[in-house]
Amino acid sequence: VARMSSQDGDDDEEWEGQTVEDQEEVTQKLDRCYAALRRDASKENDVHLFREEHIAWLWRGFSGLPSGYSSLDASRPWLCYWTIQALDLLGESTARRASQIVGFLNKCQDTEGGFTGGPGQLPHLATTYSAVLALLVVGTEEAYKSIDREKMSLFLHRRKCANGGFTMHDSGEQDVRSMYTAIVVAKLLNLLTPELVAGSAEWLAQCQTYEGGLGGCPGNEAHGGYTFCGVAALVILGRTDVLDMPRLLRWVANRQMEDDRGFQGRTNKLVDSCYSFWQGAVFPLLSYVMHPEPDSHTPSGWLFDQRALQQYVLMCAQHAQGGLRDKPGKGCDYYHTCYALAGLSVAQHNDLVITPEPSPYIDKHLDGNEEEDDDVVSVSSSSVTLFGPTENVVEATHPVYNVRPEKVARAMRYFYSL
Amino acid sequence: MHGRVKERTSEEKERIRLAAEAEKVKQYCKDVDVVTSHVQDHGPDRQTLKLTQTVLDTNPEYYTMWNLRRQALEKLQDEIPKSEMDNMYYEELKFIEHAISLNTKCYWTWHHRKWIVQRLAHLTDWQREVKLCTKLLNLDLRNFHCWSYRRFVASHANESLSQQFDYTTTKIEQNFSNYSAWHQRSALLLEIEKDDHGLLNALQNELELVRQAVYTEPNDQSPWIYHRWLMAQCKGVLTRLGRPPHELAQQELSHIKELLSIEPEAKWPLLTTATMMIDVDRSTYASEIKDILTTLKKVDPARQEYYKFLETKV
Repeated sequence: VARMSSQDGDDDEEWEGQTVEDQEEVTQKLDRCYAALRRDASKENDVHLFREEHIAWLWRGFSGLPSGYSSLDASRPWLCYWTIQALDLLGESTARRASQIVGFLNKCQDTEGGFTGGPGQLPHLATTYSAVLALLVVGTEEAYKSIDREKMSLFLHRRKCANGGFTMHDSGEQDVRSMYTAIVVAKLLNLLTPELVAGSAEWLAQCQTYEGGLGGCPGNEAHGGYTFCGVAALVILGRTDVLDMPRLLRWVANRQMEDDRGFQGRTNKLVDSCYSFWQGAVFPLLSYVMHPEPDSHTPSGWLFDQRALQQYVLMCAQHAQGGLRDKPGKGCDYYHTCYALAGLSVAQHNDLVITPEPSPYIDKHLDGNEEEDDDVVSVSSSSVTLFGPTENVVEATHPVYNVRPEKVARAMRYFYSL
Repeated sequence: MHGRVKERTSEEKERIRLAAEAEKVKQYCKDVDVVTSHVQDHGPDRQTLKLTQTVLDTNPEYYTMWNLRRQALEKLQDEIPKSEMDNMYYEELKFIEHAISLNTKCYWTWHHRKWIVQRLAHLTDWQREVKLCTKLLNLDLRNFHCWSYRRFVASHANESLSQQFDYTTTKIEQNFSNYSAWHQRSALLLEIEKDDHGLLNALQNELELVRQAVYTEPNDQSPWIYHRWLMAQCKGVLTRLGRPPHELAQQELSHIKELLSIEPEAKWPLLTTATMMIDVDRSTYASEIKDILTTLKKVDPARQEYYKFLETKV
């Protein structure tokens, strides 16, 4: 019997393990980005969001992607969502491609429910989540109708485990992402039932580590992406009582890096622009938990340095030819473009009031109707904290879903009237 | 007559590059189609393993392909003799090891490996699995997929909890910043010391280790975060033993004060002192806490809003 241990002798295979890049090296690189500002603070007004360049770069993604993207062949709804959400944040409509987008995503919808990573693949919670969000960004009735809700419900229930968690796909792994994606999809499509989320809050509670953030599964160290997913899921469930909030706040507050100004994902790791959203969005969520009544909400902003985060995104993460990146020295990609812009949005907009309960809601912005309501989200555009000129403002995004609040509201109005 | 070396123009270079790209994409799509049609006609079988390997070599994130491999292996399990099947699993492990070496952070490869070693059960060389993790963690000490997998295989390898604990000590002594090692240690400590007296002893040793770390580098957050956890554990143990719950906290506060005399503006000793004082006796320490928070707002401006919020708690 061939045993692997006999292979020990030729351990020659070079592992491409990523060695931890030197923190000092990174800080020095970023220091150069900030140098001009240090010499002259008024240079702030010269720091622009390269809006047109990013828009052009994002549109090019519609025509085809280079072969390096084959690693995302099982994530095509993600590519769709990252692209159109980024465009939406930049104020660029993708309405002229609406039917094309809906048509493509429909090819990713499995006959038994859920969306796959690409035509012919297995349905997966993450790709289901991104497909549904992309359809929300499109925001047309054609988009909403294209979702087979009945089959979706069956798919979600198939993912549910006895321990309260969810598997990502058939015989797949279970972690906080699967919990968040399942709960978001269920909530948006009006498929959330007590049965579906039985034990979920308790399972999530086990993921909070002694540091205060949440890990991917019980036993893993606290991590920004999972922390966001866990907190957002618990906000939807109304069960943030299972978490130790002061500890969580202390952990996330300390993830913003003093010199680098952006957020790191875990203690003693490097800054990365995507955490601008994953970590940044936790603050409005915490604020909502600490001050649930809209009146008591302090409009003074979030408990992190909002201007510093904007500095990171604008001065370090932007590529002059369009697209955003993790950090200087890395290439741009759609994932970082989406989440860096979303993080920028959170850092700019102070006044996001979250009420996760949908209710019959007349969108003042859409119909001009003044009927009073407990809104899903209201955004006051006068409450912004800005770095750089006012042209840098991007659209507000909903901190639970990362889709524009009015689009969340419109979709919920549709699905909750069914 | 020497021929002039023909220099390709940059336009030509770009054309060649794009053509090569297009070819790569075409080939990848073809490989995927081959799998799809084969499975449609024959179901998942031995040939499926060969064909999916081609796709996964390019794109290990194609989770459907991993699923097909599992389906193929499950089917073969019922059809071929056990010794042959075991060989297939070993081959599979080699393939996964190769896939992990190319992409150490792919969920699906780690998940698949876990599935295989569980199928092999007592035939798995659990020690080797632990060694594999050690090798990777030497290169990438924060790979949480690997840490998670290591926890899983170590339990099967009958690596004792103290052995696992000693492993974290090695990692920490190599690098005090190794946050994942401190984290792992926190889980193991409580598993090892079930008796409160033993635990209290162990906690005091841990405080000593942390002291070494923070004197070496007062601004490294890893040991301070671990310290916070240690203090919470100390309070719990002391309470259970019927001793003054803040006994050790007082000692720690004076140690940290010494450190602050050398480094008066070091953020972590300051923050730790403030949060410990809030915990021990916020009214007696009120003015000291306020002073510290004022200093913190100055030396750690990124967290001004957070410190203002803490001030409201005093």
